[in-house]
Amino acid sequence: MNRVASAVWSGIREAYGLLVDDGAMAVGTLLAVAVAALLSTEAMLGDGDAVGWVLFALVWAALAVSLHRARTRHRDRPAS
Amino acid sequence: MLNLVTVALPAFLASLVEFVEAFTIVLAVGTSRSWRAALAGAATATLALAALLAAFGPTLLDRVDERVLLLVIGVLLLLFGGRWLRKAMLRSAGIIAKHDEAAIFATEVDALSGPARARRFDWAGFAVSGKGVFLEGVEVAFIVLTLGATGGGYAAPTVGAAAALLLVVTAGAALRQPLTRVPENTLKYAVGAMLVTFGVYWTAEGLGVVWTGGAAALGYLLVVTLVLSFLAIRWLRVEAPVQTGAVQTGAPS
Repeated sequence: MNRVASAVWSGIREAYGLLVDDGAMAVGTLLAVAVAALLSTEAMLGDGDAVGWVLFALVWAALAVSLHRARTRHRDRPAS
Repeated sequence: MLNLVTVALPAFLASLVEFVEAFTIVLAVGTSRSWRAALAGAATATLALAALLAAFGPTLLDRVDERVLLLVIGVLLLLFGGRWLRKAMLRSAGIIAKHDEAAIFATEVDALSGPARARRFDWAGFAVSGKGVFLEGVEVAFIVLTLGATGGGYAAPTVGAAAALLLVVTAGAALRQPLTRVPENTLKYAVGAMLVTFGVYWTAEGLGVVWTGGAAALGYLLVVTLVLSFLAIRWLRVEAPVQTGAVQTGAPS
């Protein structure tokens, strides 16, 4: 039983690793989709592709924050 | 023709990267332990992948409502492609180590050092080879399935992936050493940008967005993505020695 649970857990971890490096960025990406979904159902931005561009901008915002955090960590790390 | 550029090409490039990584692992096991175990592991992993594809592949995807399918696959591509693009940008800026097949090969050989017992099947080599091929293969399967489900059929991405496999196996069999001359980091950067572009395009379509110019939007979204990522890499560059060497093995990269 333990072996099965361990194999399942290992599978879950590998699937997670396939999609996520930085958890905060993944959450930011999902939030971006949620905001775009909200805007599309409320039809706040009309019928064009404005919602698509909002999604694009928000996904890039999540990516930029993640990159900034990685850069800061790299800069602040003690020299070896 | 559009399918060839928008579906087969990304599938080829992404699969090429994954097959090179899988080949490095099989080669390391084969040369340091046992070719029988390395090839048996690779073959078992391939069969397991084929079974997974048969269970969760086209049949399942074809039953799902098209807009839901676009949304789910778009979000998965945003996560998957975003991860690739992020890593590629950090590598280009020198913040994390670049992918180095020669170093990975040496690390794998070191880890597997110790003779396999004569006349007994090398289960350790089998497991390492099988797991490596399976993990890299899952990424190929994911790309082929997502591009096929949303890009007008599975033929184009399957042909792209098969061409990449053929190229890697042919080049690998001829050279019998890690394929270090494949520009993996550049390929990952290009493919990451493409996957993020597809992700935005299909997620938005799943939400009911009609892009100006239809499929041509893939072109201008990709251009904007490449420009932004180029600017981001310049911004990221810090005054620090560029990291080189092997990336961590054992996880999909």
